[in-house]
Amino acid sequence: MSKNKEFVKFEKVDKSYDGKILVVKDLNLDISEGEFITMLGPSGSGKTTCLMMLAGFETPTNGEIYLDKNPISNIPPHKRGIGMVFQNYALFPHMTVYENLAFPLRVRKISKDDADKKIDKALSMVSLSGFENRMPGQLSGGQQQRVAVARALVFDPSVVLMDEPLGALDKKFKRKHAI
Amino acid sequence: MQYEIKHIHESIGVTVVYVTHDQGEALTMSNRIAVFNDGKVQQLSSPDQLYEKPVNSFVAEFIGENNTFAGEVYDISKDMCKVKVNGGEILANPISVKTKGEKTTVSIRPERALINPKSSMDNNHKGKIEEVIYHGDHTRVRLSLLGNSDFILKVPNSSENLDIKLGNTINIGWNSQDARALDPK
Repeated sequence: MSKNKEFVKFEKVDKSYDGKILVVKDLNLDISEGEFITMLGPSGSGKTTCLMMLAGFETPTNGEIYLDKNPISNIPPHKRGIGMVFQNYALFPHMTVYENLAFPLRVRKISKDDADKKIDKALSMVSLSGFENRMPGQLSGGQQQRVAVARALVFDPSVVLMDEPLGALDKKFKRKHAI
Repeated sequence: MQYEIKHIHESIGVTVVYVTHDQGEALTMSNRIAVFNDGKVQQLSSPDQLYEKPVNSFVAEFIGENNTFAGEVYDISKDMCKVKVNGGEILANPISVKTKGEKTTVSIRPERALINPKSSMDNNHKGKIEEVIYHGDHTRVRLSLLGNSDFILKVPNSSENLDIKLGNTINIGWNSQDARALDPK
């Protein structure tokens, strides 16, 4: 089966926060199924706004975004089937690693047996098998970020969004070591 | 962690949209990179195309290092143009320029300029060594060349013994195809 070349499609997307200045101007961008695409640019270039519109936390001022051919502007973030790892999208600190990963599965009403299998698989993917009962505070910054990646992948999303996931790591690392 | 994310992507084939301001991360992990500036995608390319063939001055400047010369086109054909710069003329690859008299910024990656090139290159100039910094795997050399006192070379340390000493004047060559005449900055 050939891959969908327009799995994610931005079509003539503009975004303005104040009705005057466009922070995203006439964006046309097709992303293939299975592709790893990076939006790279300086602060204020519009890259994060594009990601937020795809995630559903912002709405395009003009234009439309399609996911697997369906327009998504009217679909709320949690119903888009998109996994997210954001710089400020931290783990739930009062939940174990297992509970953090179980959360998106419970929201999607996955049975416990299936959930356990998915959690096993996701933790093994980020080399954290056996960490199920740890609390986030007992993990290093890098380990926490790997749990966040596992949590974004655990419900088999078709798309995963990552916003500076390693940038956050650096800062945490610096904070931890700065005295 | 960069490699880890890359390997996870390769093993499960999920579509990933990744945002960063770190070009190293972008070049390492991506199939394609969309370079954003001022609300617009400046270039959408694979990492190697983006680095080797930037389509405008913003991308050339933002990704990696580049040596630049501001000048004016005074002769142009399909795949070659002559650019008059402060200290002389450069043969360049006309990417964003079309006609005589246009202002341009010529961009050359540091590793594309060679000292005493063995094969013939269509740009040959003398440069004076202003600074030499040893970096282990390569030596970074800053030259004054054609009025640009910030012309950078990266010389691999496997190179034969070259006369890289402060104050020396050396011959530098590059191919016109690697000197990209882009929009003026």
